[in-house]
This record gives sequence, C-alpha cells and structure tokens, in this order.
Amino acid sequence: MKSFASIEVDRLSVMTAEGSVFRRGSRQLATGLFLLALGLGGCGNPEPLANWKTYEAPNGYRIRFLAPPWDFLGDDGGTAVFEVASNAEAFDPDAAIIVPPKYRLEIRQVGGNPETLAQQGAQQAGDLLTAGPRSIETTAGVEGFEFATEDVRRFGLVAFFPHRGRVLRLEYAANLDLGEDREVRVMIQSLEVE
Amino acid sequence: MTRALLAVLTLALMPVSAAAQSRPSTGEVGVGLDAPPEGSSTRRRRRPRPAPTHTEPAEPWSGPRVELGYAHYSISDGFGGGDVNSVTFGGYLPTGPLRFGAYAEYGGRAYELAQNHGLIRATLLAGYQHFGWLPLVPYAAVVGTLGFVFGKRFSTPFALPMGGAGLEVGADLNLTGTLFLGMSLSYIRASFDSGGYDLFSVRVRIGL
Repeated sequence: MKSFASIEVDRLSVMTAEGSVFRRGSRQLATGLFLLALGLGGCGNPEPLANWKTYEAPNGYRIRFLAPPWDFLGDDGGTAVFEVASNAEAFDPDAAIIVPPKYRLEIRQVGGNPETLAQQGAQQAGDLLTAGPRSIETTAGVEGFEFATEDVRRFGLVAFFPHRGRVLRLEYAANLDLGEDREVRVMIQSLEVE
Repeated sequence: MTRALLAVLTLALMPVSAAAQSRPSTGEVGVGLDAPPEGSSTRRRRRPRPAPTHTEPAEPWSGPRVELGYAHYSISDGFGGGDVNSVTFGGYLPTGPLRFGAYAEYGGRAYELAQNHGLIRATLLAGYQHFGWLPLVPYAAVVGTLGFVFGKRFSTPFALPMGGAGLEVGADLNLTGTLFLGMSLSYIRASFDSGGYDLFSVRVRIGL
C-alpha cells in the first residue's frame, strides 16, 4: 500500500513539471515570510497594568483600576468612589431589587498615623476582624498598614498610607474575602502617593 | 492372429472409456474410477481456484489529513502568569507542495490573580511543504488566528477577542500508512485586551 507521503511525491512530480515555477514561488514565499517576520518582530509584550486606567486625584495621589469591570463614580469633595456593579445591576440597571456592588472602594484623606489608624480600626472591628493589622507595601515602595473584616457575607479591607503629611484611607467592601484577593492587592499596590 | 489381438485390446479398453464418458466434464481426461476421493491433496491441487471476491487493494487515502495536537505558549498576564495549554484539532489539504490547513484550539490560560481563563481560537495556515526528505515533511507557513479569551476578573465575566498573524514552521514524520507525528513552532504577533503580544508557540501533533 502506498503511503500518503509517496502519493504526495507522485503528485509533486506531476505538479513540478514546471519545476522552475515552484522554485521561483518558494523563493518568493520565503522572502515574504522573512519580511513579515521583520515587520512583526521585536514588539514585545505590554507592561503589567498597561490596560488598567489611572485615576489621578486632585490632591495628588494616583491609583490604577481595571475598567471594566471597575467604574469611577466620582469624587465628591475629597472622597473618590469606585465600584464593580453587581450582576443584577450590570444586566438590568433599572431593576427594583437593590443588590450591593461586588466591589466598592472609597478613598479619602484623614488625619493621624497609618499604623495607629490600622490598629484602632482592627480593635473596633472586634470579632469581625479576619486579618491584620499588618504592613503592606506599594509597588513604588511606600509602606502602609491594613486590616480585613468579615460581616454577614460582606467583606471589608481598610488600608492606610501616608500622603502629604496626612493619611490616605482606602476602604474596600466586597462579596468576596478581600484578605486573600490578589486582584485587589495589585490594585492597592498600584497606589502612588506623595 | 492380428484380428484376435485387436479384439482382446478392444475388450480391455472398453471399461476405461465408459468411465471417462460418465464423469462430468471437468477436463480430467483419462481419470479412472479408482481416482483419489474428493478432498485429497491431489484433487485440491488440480481444482481451479475460485475467483477472488474481496481482496482488491484499498485505494490509498488522498483526502485531507486530520490531526490532534497539544499546544503550549504564553499570553502574559503581567503578573507572572499567562501560560496557555491547549488541545488542537485540525488538518490540511492534499495540495502537493502548497500546504493549506486550519485548526481549532481550546485551552486554559493561567491567571496569577484569580481563576484561570479559557481560550478558544481558530487558525488558518498557508505555506510550502517539502517532500524531498521523506518520510520527513518539513513546512513553513504564514498563519492567521482569531479567537476569544474568556473568564472572570474581579469576579466579573468577560470575553475578549484576540487575533493575530505570524509564521509557523514544522515537520511531519510519516510513520505507516497515513499515520504521522508532527511538531510545529510558531510566532504570532497577537492583539488582545488593548495590547500587542508576542506568542511563541510549540505544538505537537498526531494525525492520519
């Protein structure tokens, strides 16, 4: 029984009756492939968070967020609010049922010291405390403090960072355990303060 | 005297010729009543063989070749993940030195920050294959691909299109019949999630 390859060779011998045509064609193809490789090569991959948006606050800090699903809702006199809508709200914004957002972040400036504020917040959380207070460092190398809480099927994470002699307070609330949420951690670490 | 001898010979030959005429016309002239019974080796050797009814050789397969494969590459997620492991199914047409093929791919993309993503894409391939080194058939081709990456980010479903074009080189090792093993390396410049990615892929294949 003839193998497929030998059949192809038979076919090739017929098709290459005009052998020079194929040789010329293969040379042109190789040239085309080479040019295509030159045109496409060396472009590299995007930087981390390249497709994340940047919110630059009037008072000088910057934070990255992935949109969608995050939405920047506004900054009403010093408190910036971000949300990831619940599925119910995402699919039917006019629905009568009110479902809390999957994620919500409020950022505002407060007075005090980051570590002290984190310890006080953790004490006040009492039995709801699930993690912290513990230190956290941004990608830019700024050290802050955070603690995590869990209420009835609602989780919280509060982080404090020094900023312009005061403290920047980031308060997350979500339907998921924020203490172990790596996406939220990356978002916090993207914070740039002065 | 001569007449007497002829009469004796005639009487002696009479039974033989009668037996020969009583047998069916098998062409066995001169076989007597004491011939070996049916089924003996002598008889089997002399009987003509029946015409073959099912031994015609099958036509060699000359249609499209199909293949199953495994592919590995990376669509970086920017956080150390992005490895893609996928299965492919496709094939190519029997168009001589010109290789036209396609394959579909389904796999998973590692995402360091949460659950892994899924990936579906289709790839078209056109190029040249060389039959001068049989049973090895190397080839080089341009490829174009289109698909989707889907999953969840911040617990929210998404499906993002991806597409790109590039080059693929590889070789098929023909084993027996139409069975072959293949390996391919490709470079694709792909657009995905508002960014451009270099995809260096390795694909192993088995096909018919």
